[in-house]
Amino acid sequence: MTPFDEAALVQAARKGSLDAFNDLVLAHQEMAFNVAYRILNDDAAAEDATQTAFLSAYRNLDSYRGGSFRAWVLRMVTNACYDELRRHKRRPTTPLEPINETEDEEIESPAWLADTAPSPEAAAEQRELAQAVQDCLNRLPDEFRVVIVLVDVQGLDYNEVAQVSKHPLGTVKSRLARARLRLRDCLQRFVELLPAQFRLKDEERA
Amino acid sequence: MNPRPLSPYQQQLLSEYLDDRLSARQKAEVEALLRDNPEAATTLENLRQLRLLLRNLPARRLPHNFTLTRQMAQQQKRPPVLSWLRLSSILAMLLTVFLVTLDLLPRGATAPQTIATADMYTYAAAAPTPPIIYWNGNPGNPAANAGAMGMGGGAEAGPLSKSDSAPRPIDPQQPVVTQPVIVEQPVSPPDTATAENNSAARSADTQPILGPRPEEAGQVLDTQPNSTQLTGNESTPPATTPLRWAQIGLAALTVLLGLLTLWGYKRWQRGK
Repeated sequence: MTPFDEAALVQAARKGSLDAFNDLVLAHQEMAFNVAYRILNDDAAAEDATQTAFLSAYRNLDSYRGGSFRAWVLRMVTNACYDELRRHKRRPTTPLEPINETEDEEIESPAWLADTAPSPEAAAEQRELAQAVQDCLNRLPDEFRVVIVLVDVQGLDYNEVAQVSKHPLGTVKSRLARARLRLRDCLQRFVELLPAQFRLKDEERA
Repeated sequence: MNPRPLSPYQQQLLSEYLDDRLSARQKAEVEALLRDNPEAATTLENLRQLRLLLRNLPARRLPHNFTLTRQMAQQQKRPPVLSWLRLSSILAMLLTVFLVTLDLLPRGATAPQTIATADMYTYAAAAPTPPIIYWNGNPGNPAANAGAMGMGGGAEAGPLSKSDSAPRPIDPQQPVVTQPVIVEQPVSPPDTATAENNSAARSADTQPILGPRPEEAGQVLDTQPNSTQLTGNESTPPATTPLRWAQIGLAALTVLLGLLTLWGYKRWQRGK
């Protein structure tokens, strides 16, 4: 979608066109859901947060003052995720076993199981690595996780992230650097899954 | 070249270098660091691999489209009346708090200064004219001075008139008054206590006025008008003031509006 089209759709949606707004939803929903999933690490919670975010965006279209519509929508998504995280912290739940509804879905492991070294034989190496990364993301503080997901997973630039998080650019840079280093240190626990370049640090220290 | 631990500043520089967000000067600084410290080169390579890993994470499949239906779009709109109710209840609560705070403050802090001044003048006007004591006799009434021979002190006189205020020459024929002569002033309307005082004063023309008269010794004389009435007023319970009624009314309004808002929100949430 070109920026011109997006601006026209936003304009139409603000005048009350639900179809125009739904076109915007279709353009951004995949990114919104993936950001929510990486922050929350739960499909159902990510689904709720994404739907809540789009409803909130529709209700507050008047507050959109131009600029990156993607960043504005992602702000709604991260706000919904923060709400979900707060709700989860008030009523924490621990899954006893992973739920796999369909065979072709990715195998999800609860955090307590991932604390032990993952077995490379249990699943494909790529999936194990993805799960290890997600586990390490979950260990980051919420505000660090949001920044690294937006920059490194979704590819937003620093200014957009500053717009999403409503923090100064310096804060975004600092949080990103710290999040990357913490994530790197965490991933050393899964050294057998990492590419050879990643092992350099571990081997040099050994 | 021995690897040295990186400072947080150097780590942040490396992170920004990876995203090509540095100025030319900072870039040169990082490149020098990379040449000098193998730890910096290792860290940069780690960060590069990490970013690659994160960028290549598999995207999650969408469970469904997140488009809004007409029903969802309409139900999500909050009825304007709810916003008004909420605003009104907040305003009523703030007003109640303000009025209660106003009532709790000390009286002196809130009563206008002009009222206190007016009260002072009222008491001053109601009080009887204080007696004036002329030492060496009343120049306006030599006859009264005659009976006070040899007693010393001064003489009470009526209120000053223009003629009184002018200095008078001393008459050498007039005997020297060594005792004050008390000249009573008419008090209107006479009450019992004042009348008794007057008769006592008349009978004691020859007595000194410095200190209490013998018959008044041991008594507490209260010449303040309506003092008993004032004391009586203070002991009676205060009547409900308009301020109190306003507080009660606003508090009731706050509760009512708050309950209405809560009820409205519940209904709206159920309807969603």
